[in-house]
Amino acid sequence: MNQFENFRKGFLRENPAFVLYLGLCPALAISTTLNNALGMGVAVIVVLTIANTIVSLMRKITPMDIRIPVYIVIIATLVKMVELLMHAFTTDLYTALGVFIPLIVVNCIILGRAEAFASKNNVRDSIIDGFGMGLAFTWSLVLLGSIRQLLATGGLNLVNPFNQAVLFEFTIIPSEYTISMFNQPTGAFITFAMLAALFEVYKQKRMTSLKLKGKEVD
Amino acid sequence: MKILKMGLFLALVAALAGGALAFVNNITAPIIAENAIASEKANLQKIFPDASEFLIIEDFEDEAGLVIGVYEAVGYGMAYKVRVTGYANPIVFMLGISDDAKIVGFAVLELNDTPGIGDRIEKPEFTDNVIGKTTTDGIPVLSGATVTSAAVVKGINAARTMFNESKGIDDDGSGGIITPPPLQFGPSIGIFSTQTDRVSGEVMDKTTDGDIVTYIVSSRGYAVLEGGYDDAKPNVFEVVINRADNVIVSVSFIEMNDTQGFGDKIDADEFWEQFVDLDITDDTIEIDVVSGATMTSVSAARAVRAAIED
Repeated sequence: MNQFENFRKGFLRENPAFVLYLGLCPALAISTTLNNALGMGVAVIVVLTIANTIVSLMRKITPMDIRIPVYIVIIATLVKMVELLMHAFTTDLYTALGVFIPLIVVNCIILGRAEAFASKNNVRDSIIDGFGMGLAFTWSLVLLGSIRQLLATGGLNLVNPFNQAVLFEFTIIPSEYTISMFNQPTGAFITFAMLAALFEVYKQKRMTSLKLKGKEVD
Repeated sequence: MKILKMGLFLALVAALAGGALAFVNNITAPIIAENAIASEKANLQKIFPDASEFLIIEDFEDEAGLVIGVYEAVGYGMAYKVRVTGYANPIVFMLGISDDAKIVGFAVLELNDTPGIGDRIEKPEFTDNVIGKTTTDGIPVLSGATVTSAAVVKGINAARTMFNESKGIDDDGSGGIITPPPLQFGPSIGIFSTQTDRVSGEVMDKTTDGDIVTYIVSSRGYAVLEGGYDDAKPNVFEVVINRADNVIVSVSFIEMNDTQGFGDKIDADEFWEQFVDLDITDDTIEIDVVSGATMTSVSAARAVRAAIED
């Protein structure tokens, strides 16, 4: 598998949220606004990249039988660090994401990548895999969050979590036509289902076209 | 042997993780503590403007469940953030108690009760009864804004109970009784002034018993003149006049149709006694209106005038 393919696979074909259905708990819960989605995404990127790096570095000395507890300790430590740093430097974001920050520990994407990829591959590939997967998860969250915020509030905004400066803000749907349901869990499920269906359509089309060309389907 | 090796490995990983966490915690803990104070600092400085150092007291216990934050202004006193349920929405306020057990500050942070009624707790008529009190004094509620002010007084009581317990001050509970304040009188109006001239009362009925004449007079009050209620009715008074001595014997309510909690304030002995023995031949006689019930007080004056002039 070449580097670029390794990095790219998470965005569509192996998208963690919409294709593999991993990490759905935070994806559904915090994707009410673009801000929260991006904040959560960046936290996952940081944890996933560093976790993959450390797991890969230690892959030769980690005893096979206790590898899962070792991964858990590494991931939990990283998540706690991210949580402390967010509490200290991005207080509003920390308050908005609440319990879902510590819950990154049990986000199966992270343990999944450690077990499935980083423990078997070299450090460079593991970093690329972690960063790529994290970015893919982030883009899924941003997609979900943007759609929900747009439909529920009629616009989008983004603030710098470090100083609360508004980076951009716009409203395109008048408040009479917004659908507040999309702020609720119901809206999360509906948006998610629609997007997952779109990803499935893409997957089917791709398979058909690969078959027509006589290529091997992975 | 193998299991020992694995145990050691895991212990080593955990120890390294613990060390790394302690390092990050060391860096972030002071910033987190500062942030927590910073969000409250503006509010705390309303109470203790001179204090510069504030500490959060994390470990506190409030039986009433109303106190949501406790802060110490080092060298000045304690501040309590209290949330109570008012007439409409939660009310959040900050109460400052100095080290010598006096209430030194009261700042309302969130209040959504009716403007003109509930927000009277922010005005001196209420705050003057709070600030300067010791922690064992009672605080009167505001009549006319009973629900809002009683909720706030309950919150203040929770905060001062906590303060008294922490400082070992013995509160015998006698201060906790909530008493409404005495009637407050506003400006005087003449019975024969232009105010009673403009709109007059109407005598509906009169009974004569010798020299004593009892009039039933309807007089338009707040509800009719200002309220715009759908079925606004005038107030009805009974005015008793001694026509031999030309003095007023008594004035009282038959029907009060103005706003409950306001208009009915005038139905107090202190108000009615003002009319007794007034000389009806003297055109300078006047009464004091009850503040908060001006229109209703004036309607009483008009009713008296209508009876005199009948």
